[in-house]
Amino acid sequence: MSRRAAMAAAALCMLVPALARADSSEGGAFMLPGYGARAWGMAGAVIARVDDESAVDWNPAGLSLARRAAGLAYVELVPESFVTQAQAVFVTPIGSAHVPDSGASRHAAGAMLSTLSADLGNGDTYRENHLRLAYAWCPQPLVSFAFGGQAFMSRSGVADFDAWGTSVDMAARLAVTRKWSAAVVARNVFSRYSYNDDRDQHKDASYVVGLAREGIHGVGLEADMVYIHEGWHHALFGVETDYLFGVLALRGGASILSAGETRNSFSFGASALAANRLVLHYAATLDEDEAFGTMHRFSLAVRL
Amino acid sequence: MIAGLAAAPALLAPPVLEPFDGGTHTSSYLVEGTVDTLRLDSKVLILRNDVVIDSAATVKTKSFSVRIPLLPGKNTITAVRVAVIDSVLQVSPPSNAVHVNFVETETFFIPVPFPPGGSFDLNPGREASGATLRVYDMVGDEVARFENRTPRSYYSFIWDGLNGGSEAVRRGPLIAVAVIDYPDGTHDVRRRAFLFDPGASR
Repeated sequence: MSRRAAMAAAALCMLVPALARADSSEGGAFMLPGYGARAWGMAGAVIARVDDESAVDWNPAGLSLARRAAGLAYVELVPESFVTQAQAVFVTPIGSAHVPDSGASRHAAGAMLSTLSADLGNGDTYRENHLRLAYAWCPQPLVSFAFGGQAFMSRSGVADFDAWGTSVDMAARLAVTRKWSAAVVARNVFSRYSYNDDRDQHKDASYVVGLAREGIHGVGLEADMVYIHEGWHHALFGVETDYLFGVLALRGGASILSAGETRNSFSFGASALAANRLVLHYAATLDEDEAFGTMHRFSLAVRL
Repeated sequence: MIAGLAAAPALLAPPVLEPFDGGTHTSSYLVEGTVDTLRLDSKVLILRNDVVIDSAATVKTKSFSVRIPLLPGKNTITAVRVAVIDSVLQVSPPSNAVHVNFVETETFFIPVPFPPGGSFDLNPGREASGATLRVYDMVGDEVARFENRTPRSYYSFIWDGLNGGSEAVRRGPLIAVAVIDYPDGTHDVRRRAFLFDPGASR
């Protein structure tokens, strides 16, 4: 193991004991899982490696590496409870300027529309709609910066549960070497939403740090840590192969969640590439039966 | 009213039941009431649709409570007080009637919106050995958890709106996951989305 890799592993190990402290979530509205089956096939450990349309949600600094593409995603978020999430994304480089030696776009942007629908069981349905816009700037080969903004609203027919609000994220990605990359994403650093009875709320800020390694015999690895609920409560690990025979990529991942009682979940996924333009992603997340159970995700991307 | 027993309105006053006229989603109902005096030789008989199904003693306290099973559909619950007076078994006039409609198709009931102090009610459909209930936010982080390892045919978990760290939970959508364990080793998992409102009243 190289000296850099050893230092990175040691840094991550120092954070693990903090996971022993388990703070429960305080709930709240407008909290949605990230976009797309590709990322969830790696348990969400993607912020340092993401380089496609899902970057608009997971780490907008990765937009500088993405080709112009559009995508759709769907998941039954909570099996057997009629809670579903559908998303549509579009990402594009802005202009033709590229960063020498890296191929990254100097400017890139993305947009995402998300809809959450939850059946409340008495004829009422709770719905949230989110619109997200993100911009990335890559001034030189080593680093890219990004910020994203969201506007969201909810409707349900239940008294005092109509709300709307906004939030802002910030992100950065660093190409440490040709094979190592690191990233940090700060979500909801500024947020505010209001109900129609004028009670204001804010979303929990979360901070994600990630470290990734490419090119280990055609396999990429990443480990992410998430700071949320006033502690490091998520540890994520993901692995992804290159497209085998130019057609099929495989993924796996694991997450350790310690908000409340610690539990582990495992993910696996696959992607099929056709004509170098159309990609179908699938991911399954195996959570505990006493939690969300098994979730199946699908997403489709078209490289434009 | 009750075969073989004579009413004695002059000697025994009828019990007074806590009024209720509505529906329930659990297979049992807690009958609560009071009597006017303490008597060592008396008890209160609980009737469901004019059939005696349970009794309560009123020796130490004037109040009584009895949880009785319900029949699917309408249940008319009344109570009478019986006592031996001058070696004769006396029966009071019937109490006020409580009407409870048991809707047996509802197996996991969550109020909309859910207020602090509200309850998650589980109707397993048969005798269970225990149940757990966990509340999660929409990204899968745990908010609160409850457990009851008593064998019974219904479970009710009251939540005060605080999370596992005793912090107030914010308004918004949450997911409740109930796991019911049965004596034969099987278990049933039920998941429901609900809206929590810290400002709502019960």
